[in-house]
Amino acid sequence: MGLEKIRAEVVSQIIAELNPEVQGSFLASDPDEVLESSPTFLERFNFIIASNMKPQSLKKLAQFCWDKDKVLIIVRSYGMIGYIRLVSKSHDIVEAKLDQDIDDLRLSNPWPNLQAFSDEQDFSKMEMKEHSHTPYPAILIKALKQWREKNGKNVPASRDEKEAFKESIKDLALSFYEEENFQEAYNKYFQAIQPSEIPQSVQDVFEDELCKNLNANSNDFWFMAAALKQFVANEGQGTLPVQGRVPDMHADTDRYIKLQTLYRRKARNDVNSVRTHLGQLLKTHGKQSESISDSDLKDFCKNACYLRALHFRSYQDELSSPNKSEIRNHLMNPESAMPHYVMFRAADRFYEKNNRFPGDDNSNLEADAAELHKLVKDLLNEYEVEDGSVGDIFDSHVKEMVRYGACELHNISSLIGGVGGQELIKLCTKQRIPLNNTWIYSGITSHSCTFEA
Amino acid sequence: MDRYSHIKQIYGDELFNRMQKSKVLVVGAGGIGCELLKNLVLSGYLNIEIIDLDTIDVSNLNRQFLFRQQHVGQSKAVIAKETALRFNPAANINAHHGSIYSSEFGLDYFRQFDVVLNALDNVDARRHVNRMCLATGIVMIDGGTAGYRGQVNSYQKGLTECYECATKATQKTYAICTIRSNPSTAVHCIVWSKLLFERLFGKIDEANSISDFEILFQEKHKNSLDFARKVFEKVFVQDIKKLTELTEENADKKDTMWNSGKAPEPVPFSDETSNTNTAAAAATDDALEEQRVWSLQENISQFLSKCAALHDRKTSQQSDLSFDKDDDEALQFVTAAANLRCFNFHIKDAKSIFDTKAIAGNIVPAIATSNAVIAGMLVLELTKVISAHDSENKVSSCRTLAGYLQDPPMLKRKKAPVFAMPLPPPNPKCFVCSSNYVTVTLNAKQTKLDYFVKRVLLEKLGLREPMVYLGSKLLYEHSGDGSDDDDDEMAQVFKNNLNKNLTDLGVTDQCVLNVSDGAVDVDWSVRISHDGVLDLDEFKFEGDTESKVVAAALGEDEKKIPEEDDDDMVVWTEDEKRKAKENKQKRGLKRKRDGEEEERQSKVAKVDVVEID
Repeated sequence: MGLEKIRAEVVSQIIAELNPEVQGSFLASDPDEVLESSPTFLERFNFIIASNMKPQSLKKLAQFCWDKDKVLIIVRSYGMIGYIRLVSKSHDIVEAKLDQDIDDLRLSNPWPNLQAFSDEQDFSKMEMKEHSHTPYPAILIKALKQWREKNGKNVPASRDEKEAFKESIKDLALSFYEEENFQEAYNKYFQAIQPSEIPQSVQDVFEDELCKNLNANSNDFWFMAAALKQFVANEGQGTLPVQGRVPDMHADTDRYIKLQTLYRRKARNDVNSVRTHLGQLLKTHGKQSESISDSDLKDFCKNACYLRALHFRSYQDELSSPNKSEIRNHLMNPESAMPHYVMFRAADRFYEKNNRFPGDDNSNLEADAAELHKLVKDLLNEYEVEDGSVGDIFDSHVKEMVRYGACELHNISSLIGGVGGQELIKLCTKQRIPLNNTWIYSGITSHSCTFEA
Repeated sequence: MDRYSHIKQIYGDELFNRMQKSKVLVVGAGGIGCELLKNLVLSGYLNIEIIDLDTIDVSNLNRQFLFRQQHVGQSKAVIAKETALRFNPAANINAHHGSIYSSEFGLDYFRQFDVVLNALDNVDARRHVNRMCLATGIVMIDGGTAGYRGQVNSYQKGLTECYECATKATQKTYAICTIRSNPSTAVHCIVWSKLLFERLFGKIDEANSISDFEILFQEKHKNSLDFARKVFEKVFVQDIKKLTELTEENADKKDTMWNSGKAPEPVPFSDETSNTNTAAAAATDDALEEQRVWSLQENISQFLSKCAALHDRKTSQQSDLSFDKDDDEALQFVTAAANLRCFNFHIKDAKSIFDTKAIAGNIVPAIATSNAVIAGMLVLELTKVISAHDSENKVSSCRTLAGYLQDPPMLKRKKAPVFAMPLPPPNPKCFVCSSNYVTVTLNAKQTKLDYFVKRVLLEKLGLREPMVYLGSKLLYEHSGDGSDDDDDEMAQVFKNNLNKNLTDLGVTDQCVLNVSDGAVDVDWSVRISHDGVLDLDEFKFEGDTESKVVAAALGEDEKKIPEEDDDDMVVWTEDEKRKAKENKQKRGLKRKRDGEEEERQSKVAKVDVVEID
């Protein structure tokens, strides 16, 4: 259905058929021509996907995207191997949606109301039922207070001190093996001795040039990040706003709700403090204080420990000054998919010289292999890979690459397209952490690797 | 240049010919099934059978791209075949609109395939296919996704883990405090509502402590509607009043302690509101109606009428109900109850039937991109199996392929969206693949369990003290001399079961019963095949009993699990055997304890979540 028709036309028709809400259009032109004569066509888009483009055109497109601050996603399906590269000058993430939540309950440095809640719990006056349903954060705060009074130190640091602290939790129980809340406290003892640290990824956001140099064109993320930074330096006394979330635990309803209320109130107060800083910053740069909504700021503060900012290297930089050490490190690992990265680079150079990929003309497979082999050698020299350190693994990779002849397999394309789609969704929604910045996949070993090229 | 030129260039003619000749079964024509079928026909796999029970729903169209609006309501398998044929008219696809459990897809059916590919959305069907593949020795490749994650696994009997060797994590938990006394989202209310359903109509579970119905259950009711009203009064009025009283003492915090910021409020109820039954219950079959959120009035009348209907059903069936998202009455009950609870707690997010179904059915959104990745991997593994020259070991180059599609934070070396791991070896203690497998054909509607135990298990299989499980449900346990008082109650249940027909115990056609016998230390999987023509005293037996019967009779001998590879012979030592026996005993003990355990103040309610698409 559609033989001899214009590919772009058929694809856009069929894709639009899948969802009536999608507006599909196409341009049946050489990408080079579009870049030369009608770049305005490309300026309409925020995200540009380059799929199996020829190397020279890709370079031009990448330059265009970098200059115009467009997000570029390069996707390649090549025989049994695949490649994805993301380029975005600056990408900020509020909802990282990590697999594991970071729970910071401030147990090692409780604010006065939380300390008071723990102090109110008088174990000596409790019956078993009440005792065994005291929320574990209160137990840990109490245990830490006792430990501090006894040892005159802030938190247990050495292994012995930690062990002693752990055991002191048992001593607080009436019957440790019957009281699940005390077991919970025992198992989560580290929450009490862990200082409330600001994750490195968040410190990086604070130190980002975009955070330090706000201007009227800065986006909401950076205004909020700058306000958050001021909060940390002032009211927060070195900590991020309280998240307000209290995890599941063994507790009676009454005290669980009291605890929850404490955390929520503190979280609300912290957001209000950040709001004040934000208002000042917006005003300084001539913006309305309402230009950032309360709910956005609330979400931002709730996710404060997950904040991230990524700055992708440009494709041009990758080609002109490759990340040699990363490449070398990966090549040392025999399971790494890194050799395929080298193969892609070599095949691209082959294309630039011959205007075709190696092996796509069946008549001179051996000549192509020899030429490709030489290109690989050059590249390894450029990457300063010591002679002999990678053995002769590239002999077979060169043969494979020539055999592929830039053919596409449906199932490999399905896989690569799926991962590419996934990354596009991450970039669009600013949720989750996109890969930074290159992904190489091998269908032979089914291994893949990501690295910053 | 032909359409396969790329494939031939990469795989070579020999492998390509094998691919074209091989015969593949695809189970499931949903999200993964569609992607898979497309990949198969485009990759040159030409002999394909596809089975799916479902018809196409509007909600499938966003990712099951072989279907269009005009196909809604038609068979997934049939339409998937038609559309896939347009991609490659040379393919020979056989589509079955039917259940994989059906007897037409028996062992002989399975034997015709080189490989079985699972594109299923539930664990039960996977288990069934797993057992069919184990029984026939066919390689099974299973693909599954949950949101952004996915995995592909290859299985071959005796060489790799089987699908049931490892227990699958399928549960997510909520704090019962939140559910019971302080919900803040509609999801909390739906979880509560499902618990209410189980408490009222399901089997007694002491861990389910959402409300105290002891008095209510003992009272006499004029009719089922009277029962429904009492339940309503209890959970939406009395319990709520009690909760607010709890906080009256510290009046300043009265509102802030509630997640919703306001003290809960009883649902206003009068006889008038409860009499609007017929008017509201009338229009429910329209698809749009499913997406409409009911008014408070409607919720009240829906709750009362469905509660009464379910109560009637439970009474007339004399058996416990369990929640099923496809049971309309159950779903309407859960929707209404959840919405009324939302009203109680000022949660302004009441749900339609449609939304409730998605949440209560624990459907993790299926994502097109994940399906594409997994379907691509499935064909890759299939091609490896087809390329294997060793007919004894076809999975030697297969791996467990996983897609996190998000930085997996803990796996440093594997920090990439997809990666491979070696296939795990069989678990020698697996109840399914390490046990003996037989098929018994009998008239399940007329055969009593007693007959099955005596003639099949004791005589034919030579067991001494069999325990018979259907899934996790224990149907029968041999009870020694009956002197153990604690067991009297259960013993009576088993005795009653013996006099019931297999179908009445839930043992229907193609069910697999798990039988274990601590006395002779042997496990059996017995597949029941129903044949209505057979007489009462007749059964047919398929499968090898010989070697295992000998092992069973000797009993004390070391049990050897046959392995393809002699180097890897697994031998159970006396020590391991003792441990296995102890575990079995512990299982029995645990069951007793669970029954006796007192209600505890706080517990984590378990709610099954992840369904895999």
